[in-house]
Amino acid sequence: MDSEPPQGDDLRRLLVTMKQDVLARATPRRGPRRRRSGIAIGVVTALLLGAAGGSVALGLIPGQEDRASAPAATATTEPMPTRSPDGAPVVDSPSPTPTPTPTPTATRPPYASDDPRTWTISGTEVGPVALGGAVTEETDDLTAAFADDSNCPNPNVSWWTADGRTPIIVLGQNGVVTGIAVGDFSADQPGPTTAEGLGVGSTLAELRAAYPDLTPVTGADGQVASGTPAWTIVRQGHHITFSMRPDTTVTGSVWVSDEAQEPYEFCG
Amino acid sequence: MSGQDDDRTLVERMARGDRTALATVFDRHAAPLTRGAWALAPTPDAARALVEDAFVSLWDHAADVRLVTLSLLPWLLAACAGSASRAVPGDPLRYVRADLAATSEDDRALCERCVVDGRSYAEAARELGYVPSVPTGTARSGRASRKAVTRDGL
Repeated sequence: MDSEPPQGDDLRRLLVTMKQDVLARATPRRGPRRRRSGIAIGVVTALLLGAAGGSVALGLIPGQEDRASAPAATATTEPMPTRSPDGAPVVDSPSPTPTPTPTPTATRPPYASDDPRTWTISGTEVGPVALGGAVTEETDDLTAAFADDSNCPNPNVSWWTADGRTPIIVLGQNGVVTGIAVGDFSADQPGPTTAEGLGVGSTLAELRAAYPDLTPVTGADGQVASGTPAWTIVRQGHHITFSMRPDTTVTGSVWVSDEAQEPYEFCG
Repeated sequence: MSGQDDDRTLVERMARGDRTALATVFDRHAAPLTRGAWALAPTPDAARALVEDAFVSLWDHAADVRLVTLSLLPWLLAACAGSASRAVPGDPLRYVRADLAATSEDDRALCERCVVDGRSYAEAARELGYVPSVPTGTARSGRASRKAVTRDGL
């Protein structure tokens, strides 16, 4: 082409969006399913994450130009084209129906495994932890930034903490990651954000501005929880739910899962 | 796990499903690969697609990738060149030659064969006389691992 390759900030912005696309398209590999033996250590940490029906967190995802990686005809060592002939984007059709996501404009620092502030919350993953992956393999990638808090007696939950950082909670079933929570409604601390830079500490107004498809999460009675209302979006077929701190419009937790409703308790 | 892992180690980690390895590889090679793709595609969007597809292909086939040199850049450039829809005028390596100047002679030779001469990565490796090596379970750096090649001997 006639134009010169991008440089400086233009290149950096391009790389950020490309990286998000690549990681979104890199489907998790399914390892052998193992149930975590999970020896409950310490005192039961009855953590109330929400009230009156539970907390919900909204999440969002890079959601732009999601292209399916066409399967290669054979597995060889050759570099193989993976793009379908028309390069057609694949759009998930979850419920509620998502609307196009605004193109991320924020410039994010390069991904670093030991710096959760560089991690992206998407519909399929939070930083290095991916839905559908083996719990042991996915959480292993958290050790560069967090320590496993073993006080949670629920063998299907691992709670990852570090001083000055938003905790990460990983929920599994049959050894497979089924939900990832960012934040536990404590004070704002640096942590992963969506491609648009939103996460724990973001206000409902900011979420609404960024996500036209923001949908309230309702309980069985069809009503939004009064104490910790939550809003969700669907990206790549999964929910990203933003739960408000009780009686506020400030996000206290972001939940990524097939379930819109974040568990009321993880360890109870 | 470390961001300082060499490319072979990162490929092995990707083969085990470690997406942080993919992120590291992207950070390491995306900029020069984008410059390289710029000369292989008719539009910026097409260049972007070439780059993204190359990384996704690497992820999808990581278990089968056997590097000839220590760097993944020739493999990634070969992937872009192999996916490019048509020949473009001019030197296809013109935007990435400055990056290649910092790589090994073997890397440069591979890139010439793959991007300029249109060979596949395996064909280029064979023409350059690299012998396939048995994949190892653990990453090894240094000269002993430099000649790792293709599992299928392509």
